[in-house]
Amino acid sequence: MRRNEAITLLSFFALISPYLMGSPAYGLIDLFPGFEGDQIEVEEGEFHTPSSILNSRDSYGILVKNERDLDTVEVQVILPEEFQLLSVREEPEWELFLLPDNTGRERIIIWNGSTIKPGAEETFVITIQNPTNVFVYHFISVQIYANGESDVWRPWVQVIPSNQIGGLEFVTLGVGAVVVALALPLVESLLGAVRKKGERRGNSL
Amino acid sequence: MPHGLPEILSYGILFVFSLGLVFHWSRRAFRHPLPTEAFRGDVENGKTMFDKVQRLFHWSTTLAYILVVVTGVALYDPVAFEPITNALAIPLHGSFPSYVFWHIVGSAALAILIAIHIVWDVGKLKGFRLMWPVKADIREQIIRAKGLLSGSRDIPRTNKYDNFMKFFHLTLTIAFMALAATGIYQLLFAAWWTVPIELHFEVEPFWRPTIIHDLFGFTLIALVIGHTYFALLPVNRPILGAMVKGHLSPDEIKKRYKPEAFTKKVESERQEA
Repeated sequence: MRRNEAITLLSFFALISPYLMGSPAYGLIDLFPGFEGDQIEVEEGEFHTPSSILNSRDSYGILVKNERDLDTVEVQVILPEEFQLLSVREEPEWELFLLPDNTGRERIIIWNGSTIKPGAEETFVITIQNPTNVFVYHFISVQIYANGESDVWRPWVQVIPSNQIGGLEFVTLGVGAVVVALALPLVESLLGAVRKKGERRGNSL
Repeated sequence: MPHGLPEILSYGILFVFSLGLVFHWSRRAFRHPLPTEAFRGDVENGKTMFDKVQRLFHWSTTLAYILVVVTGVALYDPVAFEPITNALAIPLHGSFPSYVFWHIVGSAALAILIAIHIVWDVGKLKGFRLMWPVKADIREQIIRAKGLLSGSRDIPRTNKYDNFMKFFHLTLTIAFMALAATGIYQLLFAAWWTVPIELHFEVEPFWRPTIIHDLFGFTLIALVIGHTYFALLPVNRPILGAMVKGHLSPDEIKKRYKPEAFTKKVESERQEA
């Protein structure tokens, strides 16, 4: 089977896997854009909306959890064609394979040669160039187990415009300006009241 | 949210509008311009500026509007709203349908109030002409804009509703109609809050009602911020008082209004008697 046919078949199964499995296949491979660190740590109940700024370079943490009672022996991630892979963090215990698509761009990332034990999790890190369009993109990902079975996941990231300028978030600038504008008449009233009080005091003297 | 209006535009509208208000304050706060043209005529007693129905409509609309804006901003930018919901210990993420429900309740209340307002102010009081902009308003607007930029203290006397109030009212009307149309469309055909976030783009039609809704929503917020700013200015305190108590004193009328400004009101008061 040629590489592109494999990608097509994999993509097809990824798309229908939520319906085959009877529930959305989210969560056991998850993306964490803007990741800086060694291992991803997620708090219980923490709400996670993976977002990254369009047309920028970003480090994505890929969290792989093993919730089966078999070892995970291989992890595969396919980048959407709108993204460009720049680098992959070296993982001493894992072997890395990068496979190109039919245009020659490396989009298929494979880690094997080590294991993720049942109940354990592993963090992989890739650096990629985000696309120029605002959209929600799915990274088709496969988790292969010691007995040859696999689970297919579709972790996603929303690529959005920047929400900052000069380090300040737009919401801060907008709300801050509103507060200042509405405070000014109140300041004027206060100054007026102070002035009138001063005048009355002056008159009484 | 990814499929809504970019934040640089939504919060940019608020930022630019507020800067305009700050500029206005800087030009007027210490000059306190008032009409220098003499008041021709006599005003013995105060006038009813706003009757009971109008005042009740105004403050009820304020409450409904606050509900709509609070729930709307929470839906638009839940991440920015998190500190508020965390502080109040109320759910946010995963509870969007509840926020949409209260957003619709507030919007429906606004629609009913506006219907009452139209029946009363247009049907009963025949006050349409008081609020509809005319050519003289544009001339007056230019004079006042020039005065603002030059720092002149001389401004013309106004009718009951000056040109800025009329254009504010007109823009409110347009914004509300656009919000109603795009909101109803989303509710019936593009209910993005009922699907996972990664599918939001797929329920949105090509003409992007969410973006139009956000644009007019933030324009409406900016307009009401401007309205609130002018209401809080010390020079307008008597008008704010009239929106609570109903009446304007003879001194205030002589300070800024044309003698014929309250003619319509006098006529309607005569009819009621």
